[in-house]
Amino acid sequence: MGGALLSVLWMLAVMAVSILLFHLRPVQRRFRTLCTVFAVGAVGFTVSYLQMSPAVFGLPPNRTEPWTEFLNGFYLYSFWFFGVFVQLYSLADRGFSLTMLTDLLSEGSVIRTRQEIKAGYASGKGTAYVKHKRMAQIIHGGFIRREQDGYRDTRLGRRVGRFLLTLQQLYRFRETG
Amino acid sequence: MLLRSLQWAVAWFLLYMGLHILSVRLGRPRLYFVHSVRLFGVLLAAFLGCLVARGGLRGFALLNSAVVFGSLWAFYMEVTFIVMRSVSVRTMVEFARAPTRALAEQELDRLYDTELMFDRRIDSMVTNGYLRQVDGHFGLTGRGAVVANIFRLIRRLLNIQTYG
Repeated sequence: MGGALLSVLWMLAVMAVSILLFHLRPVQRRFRTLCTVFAVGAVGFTVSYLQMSPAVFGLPPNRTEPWTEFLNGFYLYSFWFFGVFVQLYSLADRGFSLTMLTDLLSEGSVIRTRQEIKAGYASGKGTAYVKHKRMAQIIHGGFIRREQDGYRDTRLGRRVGRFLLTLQQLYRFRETG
Repeated sequence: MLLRSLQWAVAWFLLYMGLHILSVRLGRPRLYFVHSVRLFGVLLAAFLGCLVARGGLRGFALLNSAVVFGSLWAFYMEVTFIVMRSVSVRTMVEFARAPTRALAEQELDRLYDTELMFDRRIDSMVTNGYLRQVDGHFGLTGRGAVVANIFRLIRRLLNIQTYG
């Protein structure tokens, strides 16, 4: 139980640190920063688990399943971070539907046609912005590379693309993207 | 007891995954998320009922087991949503499908029209009750306004200035 409680405490701590960092200075590669904060928190979690007595949480002093408790706590810490915090960050940063909703809210909950919604996407950046931003990220990630009049996938991109295609076929997703 | 609670959670998650893949392949649900949540609700109730009836897990171990099962499900849903809806994923899949592994700018635009992607998202928000449609115009519903307010707050909290 101590491991699970520690996971919540460390999650709150790394969340607070991440928010503070994002406000104190301009952070270019935010996902990398989040991963670094997570790694520091993971070390902190491990050290505090090994050093702290369960009695701190009002639990019996002897752990009956110390390694299982540690793994359980570490898994939960990872879940709170990547499954909840990073997911919320990602939705707020990249979610299309959410951006369209917040655009409409910022404009005073007005009604718009499809074309107006698309043209005003992300405070007026428009739909072309989405494509260029994603392409730049895929190129930066090393999945495709720019050629004279188009793009070509890299070996890594080919493997990842095939794997993703297999997953889409497994679930029989008809309309993707 | 804790190890057993984890084993139960993983076993039930694997059962969920098997049933989910089978039902999605066979049934092709129109509302993927609603279908997935319903299936999870049924399995979570059966899971808790089974554990309580057997009497093997109590108190924290039972709660932990349910939380781990729920977290595995949430991770799984996030991954399947990325596979289904991510623009980057769709783009990479188009390259994997292309015989020459290379695509010209216009060819990529033809295979994956981002304008149509936006149309699908708008239709999906109408279906799910976030937008209302009146004579070809779209406006926020009460639910849409609540979600928009929450995420506007999250953007301020995380100091996200360039988004989309």
